[in-house]
Amino acid sequence: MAEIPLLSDGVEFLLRRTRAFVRSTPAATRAAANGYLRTQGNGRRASARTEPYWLFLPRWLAGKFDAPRPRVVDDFVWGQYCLFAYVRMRDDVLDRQTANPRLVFAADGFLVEAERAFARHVRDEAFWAFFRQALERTAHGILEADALQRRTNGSVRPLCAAYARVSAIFKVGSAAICLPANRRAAFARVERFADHLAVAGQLLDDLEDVHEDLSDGRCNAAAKLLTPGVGPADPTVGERITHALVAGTRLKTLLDIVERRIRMARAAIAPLRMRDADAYLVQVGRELADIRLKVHRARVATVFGQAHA
Amino acid sequence: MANGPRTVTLNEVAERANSDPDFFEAVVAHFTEPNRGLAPFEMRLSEADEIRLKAGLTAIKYIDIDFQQFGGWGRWPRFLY
Repeated sequence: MAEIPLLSDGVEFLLRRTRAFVRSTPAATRAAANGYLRTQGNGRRASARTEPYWLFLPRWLAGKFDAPRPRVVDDFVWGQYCLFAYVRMRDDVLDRQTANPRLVFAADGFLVEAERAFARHVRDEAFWAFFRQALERTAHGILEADALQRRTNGSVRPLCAAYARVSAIFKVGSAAICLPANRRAAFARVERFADHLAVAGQLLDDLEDVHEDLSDGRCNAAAKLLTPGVGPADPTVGERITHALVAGTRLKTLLDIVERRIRMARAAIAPLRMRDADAYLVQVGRELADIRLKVHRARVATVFGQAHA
Repeated sequence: MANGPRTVTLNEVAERANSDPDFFEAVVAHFTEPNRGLAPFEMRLSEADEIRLKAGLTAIKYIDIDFQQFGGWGRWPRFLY
């Protein structure tokens, strides 16, 4: 099976367009955007890691169906990227990842640019209904996830459902290919694929951020899975989570859930017979196997390293 | 007469745990849930090594797993800028 192509060309094009777009905005907006993006940006990516699925999906689908011209698909990918920028900037203000509240208005510029990118080529009402609905779902999903994480009790299932809603905007680029072409059945599969991968990815993200979220008063999905029934206000929760990461059996359960989500994503998208999507999921599966191995080695080193100390 | 469990060193246990996740979990369970143990593996630690391992397990404050290096397909990426 072919290796998944990395989006090196796509990355260059998005980098160029982001810089050009920010340069085109008025000075005060530009200052807010530049101040933020210079600290958040990573320029050309040095590592050959797998890019997020939502940058690939429009191109995979365009290759499958009667494709719009490549420049049109580029506009859809750009519009998709602007939606990401819009939500990410606002979310960083909410999470106090940035100290500049002016950023919410700079973010609005990316939303308008996203709309412009899609409007250049799509008039289809079903697409625009989806565009609006996706923005709503993402906005409500962010606040819903935040509220669920601040609760002491509550299972992981509704939180995972909220995570899928948070990622609703990442389907818009694919909707621009599928809905005007009346490929609704295919798009329903794309939606399920995206939802499962969004949850799988967020669960790993939660593992990375588990202690940071806790210090913000939130038990994310990883925390809830590792220490069920323990709320963010419990003074022992941090210690319990660390112990569960090192010595508990629930970390394996969490990684099993991630694996199951990846399998479900594969089952959703497989009937569309997109070779690049298949290759992408094989790579994702390899990455998860790698995570399992490295997690295991870190656990052994922690337990026996401590014992030897 | 049947032989009893073989006494092993902490290093031996660590080496096997490194290559066998199930074994690692059994070792950890042995020291956190008294009803499970290393008996299926026909091993035991010396009393001193048991004390060291128990002390190690209770002293754990931190684990260094960098999940950030993974999940490019799931994490929201950093900006291209």
